[in-house]
Amino acid sequence: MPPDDLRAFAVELARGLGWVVLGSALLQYAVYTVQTVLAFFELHRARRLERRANPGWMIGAKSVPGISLLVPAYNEELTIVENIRSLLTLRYPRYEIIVVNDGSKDGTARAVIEAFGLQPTVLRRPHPAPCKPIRGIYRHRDYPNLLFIDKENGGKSDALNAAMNYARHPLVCGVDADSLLDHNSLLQAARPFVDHPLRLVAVGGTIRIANGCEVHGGMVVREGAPRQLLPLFQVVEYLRAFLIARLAFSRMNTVSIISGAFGLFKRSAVLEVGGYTHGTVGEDMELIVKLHRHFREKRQPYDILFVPDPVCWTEAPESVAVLRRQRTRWQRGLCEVLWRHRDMLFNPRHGRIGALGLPMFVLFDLIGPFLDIIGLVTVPLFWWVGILNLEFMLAYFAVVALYGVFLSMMALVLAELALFNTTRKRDMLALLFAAVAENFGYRQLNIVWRIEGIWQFFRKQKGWGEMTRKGFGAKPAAAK
Amino acid sequence: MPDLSPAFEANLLHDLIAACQWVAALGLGLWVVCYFVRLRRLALQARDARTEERLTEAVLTLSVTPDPDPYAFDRLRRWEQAILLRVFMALVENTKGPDQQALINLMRRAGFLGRALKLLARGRPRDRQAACTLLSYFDHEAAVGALRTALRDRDPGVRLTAARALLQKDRIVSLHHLLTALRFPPDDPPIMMADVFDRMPASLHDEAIRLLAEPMPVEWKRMLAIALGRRQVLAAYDALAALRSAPEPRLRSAAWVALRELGDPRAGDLATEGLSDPVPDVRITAAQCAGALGGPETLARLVPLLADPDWWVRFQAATALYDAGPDGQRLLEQHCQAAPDDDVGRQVWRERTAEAGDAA
Repeated sequence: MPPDDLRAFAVELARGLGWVVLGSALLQYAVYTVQTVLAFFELHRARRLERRANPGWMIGAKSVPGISLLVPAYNEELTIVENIRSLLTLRYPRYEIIVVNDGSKDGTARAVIEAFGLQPTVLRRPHPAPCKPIRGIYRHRDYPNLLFIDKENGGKSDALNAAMNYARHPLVCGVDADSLLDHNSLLQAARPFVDHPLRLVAVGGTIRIANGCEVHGGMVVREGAPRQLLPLFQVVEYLRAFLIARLAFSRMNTVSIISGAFGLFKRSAVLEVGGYTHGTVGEDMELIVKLHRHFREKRQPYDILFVPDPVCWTEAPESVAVLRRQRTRWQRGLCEVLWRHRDMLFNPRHGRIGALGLPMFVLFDLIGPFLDIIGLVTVPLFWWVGILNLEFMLAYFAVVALYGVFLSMMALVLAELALFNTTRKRDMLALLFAAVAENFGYRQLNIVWRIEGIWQFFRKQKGWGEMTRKGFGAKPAAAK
Repeated sequence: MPDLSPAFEANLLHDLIAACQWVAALGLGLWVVCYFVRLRRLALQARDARTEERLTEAVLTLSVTPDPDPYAFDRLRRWEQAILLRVFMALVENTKGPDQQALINLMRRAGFLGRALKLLARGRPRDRQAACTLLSYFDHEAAVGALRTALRDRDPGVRLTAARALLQKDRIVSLHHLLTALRFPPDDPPIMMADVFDRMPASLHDEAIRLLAEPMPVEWKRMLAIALGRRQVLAAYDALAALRSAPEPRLRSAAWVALRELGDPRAGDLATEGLSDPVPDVRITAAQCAGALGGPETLARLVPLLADPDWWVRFQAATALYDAGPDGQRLLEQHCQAAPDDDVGRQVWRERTAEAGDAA
C-alpha cells in the first residue's frame, strides 16, 4: 500500500475509533438514564409501601423474626467498643450481636472483653458454614444479646461464617465493625421480610459516608458534608451507586450485590449455599450471585431486594493511597465473582440475572473502563495531531463530563427525596460542588484504578491491603 | 465508521454539546427545586412537631380537668385537627387504665367520632389509619360501620388497622370474611397476618377451630394454629391434635408448637408420636412439646433422640430434657455419664450448668 493510502487509512481508522468511543459513552449514559428513571419508580414504590404501615408496629408484635447481627472485626481496637454500644441500642424487638475477632493483631479482643466484662463460656455448634478454629467464646449475663467469638485469622468470609454458625435467629445481618447503623435500620430492613416471609432471601440497605457527620455514642446525630475533597466526592459517588444503580436493579429484580457493610439475609438460605465463600475479596457480591444461582437452579421463586431507607454509615478513605487500594480490591472482587460465575452470563437458565444483571457488570465495569480510558487518551491526541476537529473533542468531553454532572445531580435529587436531612446551606453547596467537580479528574482516576484492579486480578494478586481508619471522632491509626 | 458530510457532522456535534449542556442544567434545576421543596417539608414537619407538642399538653391538661370544655378543639384549623387526631391516637395507645379512660371520655365528649369519620372518608392513608385506631374506642354503630367500610379501603395499611380495630371491639362476625377482605397473598402472606390472628377475640375461636379442618393455604393455617395455641384456646386441642398428621411438614411442626403453647398436659404424651417423624423440624418441635408438657415416661422417650442423626434434633432434645426440670435433668445427667466428650447431650449439660453457675 502506498504511504499516502496508508496514512489515509490510519486517519480513517482513528476517526472511526473516535466515533466508537463517543458512541459507547452515549450508550453507557443512555443506560444510566434508563436506570435513573427506574430508580425514581422504585423509590416511589418504596415510599408508598412505607406509608402503608409504619414499621413501628413490629416493636410490640410476637411474630416478628429475630435478627442475628454478625460483626466481623479485624484490628478494630479503636472503634469496636463504641460500635458495639451503638448496636446494643438499636430499635428492634428481638436481636443478638455476634462479634467475631478474626485473629486481630491489635487489642480488639482485649478491648471488647474488658469493656463489657465478658466471661468465657462453653458453646458448641455444628459448623455447616466452614471456618477456622475458635479460640474462645465469651458472654456476660448483663448483656444476654452479646456473644463474642475469638478465632484464628481466616478473613472476613471466615469470620462471618463463624458468626453464622452461632446465630440463633432466622435472619442474619452482616455489619462491618467500622460502620454505624441508624437507630431504625433493622426495623426498616426487616419490614420486607415481614411482608414476604417466604419469597424474600436478602435485603440490602444504603451505605452513606459518615465523614463530616457529627457522631455521638455510636450514632450519627447530625448529617454533614465532609470537609476533605476525597470523601466529599465519595458521598456523591455512593449516592449514585446506591440510589440510582441499586434501586434500578431492585426494580428489575436483578440485584447482584448487597454491600458487605450492611445486608440482611435469611440464615437458612445462606447456609443452603454453604455460607460465605473463602478466598475472595468480593465475598458480598459472591454470596448474592451464589444465592441467585442456587434458587434459579432449584427453580424456587425468590426475591433479593434493595431498600433505600435502612442506612448504615461508614468511614470513607481520606487519602489517595488508601482509596486506591480499596477501589482496586473492589475491582478484583468483581472480576473474581464474574470469572467464577461466567457460565451464568447470557444463560437463559439464570433468567434476568444471567441476561441483564451480570452482563451489565461486564459491559460497564470490565469493558467500560477500557473504552473510557481509550477515549480519554485518544480523543485529545487525535485532535492534537489534527485527525479529529475541536467540535468532536468538545462533544466527547461534553458527553463524559456534563452528562456525568446530570447523573450526579439526579443522585442528589433522589437523595433529597429519600435520605437527606441536613438543611445547612454550606453542606448542600459542598455537595453541589462535588457533583460537578468529581466529573473532572476523580472519575477518571477511578477508571485508572479499575483497570489496575483488573490487572491485579490477572496477576492473581490476593489480600485486602492496608486500610487507615481514624475512627468516629478519634485520632488516626493504622489498621490492616 | 459513519460517512458524514462535514456540515452534518459539525451540526450533530453542536447539537450533542447543546443537549449535554441542557441536560446538566436540567439536573441542576431539578435538584434546586427538590432542595427547596425538602426545606419546605422540613419546615412543615417542624411546625407539625411544635403543634403536636402543644396539643399533647392541651389534651393532657383537659383530660385531668373535672369538667373539660367540649368545644376546646373546635377553633383549630384543618391541618391542626389532623394532628390532634394523631395526638389522641398516640396518647390512647400508650396509656392504660384510668388515664386511658379519661382520654377516651374526653374524645367522646369533644365530638371526635365525627372528626374521625370525616378523616376516614377524606384523609390521606396515614390519617385514615389514625382515624381507624380512634374509631375503635367508640361504641357507636356509625364507628363500626365506618370500620367495616374501611376493610375495603384501597390501602392495605388502612384495611389492616380497621381489622385490628374491629377485632379489638369484637365486631368481626366471620374470620373467613375478614381474611377475604384483607386480601393477603395465599402463597407468601405477610407476618402481619399472625398479628391479626393474635388479636382474635373469643367469639371467633369456634370458627377458627373449624377453619383448621377446612381447606386453607398452608401458611395461613400454620399461623392460625400457632395463634390458637398462644391464646390458649383449650377447645382447639382436638383440632390441633388432628393437625399432627397433616401431610404438610410445616403444619405438623406448627401443630406441636401450638400444642406446647396451649399447655394441655395430654399433648405431652401425644408428642411422642412426633419424635419419629421423618422431618427433623417436626421432631424438634415435638421434642420441645414433649419436654414442656410430658411426664417422666414421656421424658424417657426423649433420651433416644439424643442419638438422632440430625445435630439440631439432638441439641433440642437435650435442651428440652434440661428445661423439663429435675426429672429431665436426671435423665440427661445419666446419659452424659456414659456419653463421649463430643456428645451433644453432654455439651448441652455443660453449657447449661455453666450458665446456671454464672447466673448464681
